Parts: sequence; structure tokens; C-alpha cells
Amino acid sequence: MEAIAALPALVHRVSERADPDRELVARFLGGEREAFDALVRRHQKGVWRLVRRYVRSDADTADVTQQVFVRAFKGLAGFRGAASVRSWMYRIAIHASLSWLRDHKREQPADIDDDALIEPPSAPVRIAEGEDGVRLRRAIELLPPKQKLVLELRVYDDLPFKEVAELADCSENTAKVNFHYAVKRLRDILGVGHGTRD
Amino acid sequence: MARATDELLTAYLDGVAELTADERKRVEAVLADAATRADADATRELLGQLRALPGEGHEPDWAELERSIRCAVGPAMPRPWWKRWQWLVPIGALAATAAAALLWLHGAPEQAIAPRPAAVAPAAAVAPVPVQEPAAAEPSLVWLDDDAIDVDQIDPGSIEVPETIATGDSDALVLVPTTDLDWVDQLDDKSLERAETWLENKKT
Repeated sequence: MEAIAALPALVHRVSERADPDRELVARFLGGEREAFDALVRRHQKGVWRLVRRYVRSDADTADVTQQVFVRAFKGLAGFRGAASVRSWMYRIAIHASLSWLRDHKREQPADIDDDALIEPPSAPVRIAEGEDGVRLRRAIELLPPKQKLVLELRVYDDLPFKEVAELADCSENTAKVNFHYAVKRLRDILGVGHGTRD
Repeated sequence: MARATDELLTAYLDGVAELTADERKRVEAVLADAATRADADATRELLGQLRALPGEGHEPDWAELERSIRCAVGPAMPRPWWKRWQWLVPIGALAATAAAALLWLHGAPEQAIAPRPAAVAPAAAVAPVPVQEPAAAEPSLVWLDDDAIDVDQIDPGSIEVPETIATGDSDALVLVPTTDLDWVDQLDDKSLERAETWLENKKT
């Protein structure tokens, strides 16, 4: 019976130990510089995609992504491990993106994407996006900020609700509820499933 | 369907493993209803569409981005703040010691403090000053009838004190007795005015 009772703690400990991010952080803190490069390789795509949703230009997104990792590099020595490394980095990314937006508020055109002026989107993207895609993106833009953040972190970044809650500064249950209302509102905007219950 | 359970429906459809056993049971109970199941199917479809959306923008060359990050970060390993500030500890201790010493000096009695040297004038302007020997105790001389008398050498017993002083007869010591001032009362107004004018002039 005692062994069964200790099982959840054991599973938790094993999963903690198996987390490659934590292992990389430990190696980095032990003086292994290459461990940070491995962290960059693991998270640069996720960070870039998250930043790109705020910063509407590819070039600026690359700059902000770089800033995120520079901040992470400097702050990793003080990483306490309360959250996962990924959500810690994503938090830095959200802050860096918001501060970039604040600094470049006047430069940002209301509707025109910077890249749209330089290079047209490639044909496959345009086809894949289609009218439905455009409608969906527009509908997401209409969501309240908190619901939008929770939905994007969950759907685009594939984060578990626990990490979504950490990044959205709310409880896990609130994150689930926000996710529900975000999807419900999207359905209302798009006119999907008129039989929505509440 | 209870409101709380309804709010968990989308989370259930998107990640059943992230709900507690109790929450799962409650949601599954309401999913027995056909209308709720149809609603759930529509939600699943929308979630699928959202996930199928291509990422925004054009993804960069990841190897190039990694290189640029490595360049921006630099080769040096970051040091934790407590290591960066380690040098402050001895400096802080020194400053604290100096402050304590200053406080002690200010609090000490004045005689304990060494006298400050006088402001030194430029060397060229200073004329050589003969060094003075410390003055010996000078005699307390009093001139009396063309004779210098050292007061310290006088034997108090040899002094002749007049009888009136020795006995403390105050009436006998008064040089001008008050009774002799009766003449003031006999002065007329003119004389008094003149006297007052004279006194005023004296004052100014």
C-alpha cells in the first residue's frame, strides 16, 4: 500500500529528472556553455513563432528573438526552476515583444504588414491560408486580450494548461475557463454551431 | 448542465488528461446528452481548423538565427549577481570600519583630539620666528608706595587689618553716609533740571 501511495511522487521525480531542459540548465550552470546553444536549438522556433504573433515583421521578429535569448542567457543563473524552462523563456518572449511594441508604437502601420511591402507571401502559404484562414485570424484578433493569449498559447504553442496559466498569470482552472470562452466566442463570430449552449 | 462543468467542456475536448478524475466524470455525464455531443463536435472541428492554420510570417534560417544569437550572447559565461558583487563585501567592511572610526572620533572628549595644526602659509612668506621658551610662573607684583610687592610672598598673618573692616561694622565702612545726601532734597527745580541735562549730555 505504501509503495502505491508513493507512486505519484516517484513519477513526478522521474519526469523532473527526464526533463531535458532542466538537465541543460544544470549543465549550463555547471559552466558548460554549449548547453545554452542546445537550449536555443530546442526553443528558438517556439520563441520565434510567439514573438511573430506580436511583432508583425519577420526581420523584427528575428531581432526580438535574439534579445529574448540574450536576456535568458543573462538571467539563467538566477532561474529558480519554479516554472518550466519553456514557460520561463516564453514569459521573457512575451515581455520582450510587448516592450518592442511599446517602443515602436508610432512606427507600426495600422493594417499594413511590414513584410507585405517588401516581399509577397509565397504561393503555398496563400493557398493554405485561404479565405477560412483569414476569417479565423480576424476572428482571433477580435477576442479579449486574455482569451486571445490563452487560446494562442494553447493552440499554436501546444502548451499544457498549467503552463498557459503561468504565462497568463492566472490559475489553471481560470485558463481552462478562458479557453472555453475564447472558443465559444470564436464560434459566435464565425457563426459555427449555432446551437451553442451556455 | 452546471455552469462550472460547461466551462470545462472545451478543456476536456482539447486535453482530457489535464482534467481531474472528478471533472472528467462530470463532463462525461453531460456529454451523454445528444445536443451537447453535437456542440462538442462543432468545437472539435473549430479547434482542428485553428491548429491547421499555418504559422504567420516566413520562418527564418534557423541555423543562421542560432549563430546570430550565439554572437549576440558572446563567449563569456554570465556570473550570478552574488558573484558579481562579491568584491563589494570587503569594500563595504572597510567603509563600515571607517564610518565607525569617524563616529568614535566625533564622540570622544575634546582633549583626546590632537590639536589641529594652524593653517600653514606658503614657505616663502614665513619669517623665521624665534622659538619661545615656556614662560615661568611670573610673580604677582603690585606697586605700592613706589615698591614692587610680590603678593604671593606676603604672609596673610602680617597684614594689619583696620578694626572697622575686621569687626565688619558696615556703618563705619560707608564713605559717604546717606544722611549727607540731604542737600539733594534742598535743590530747586532749576538746579535739578541742569543736573538732568548734564547727565543726559554725559550719556550721549
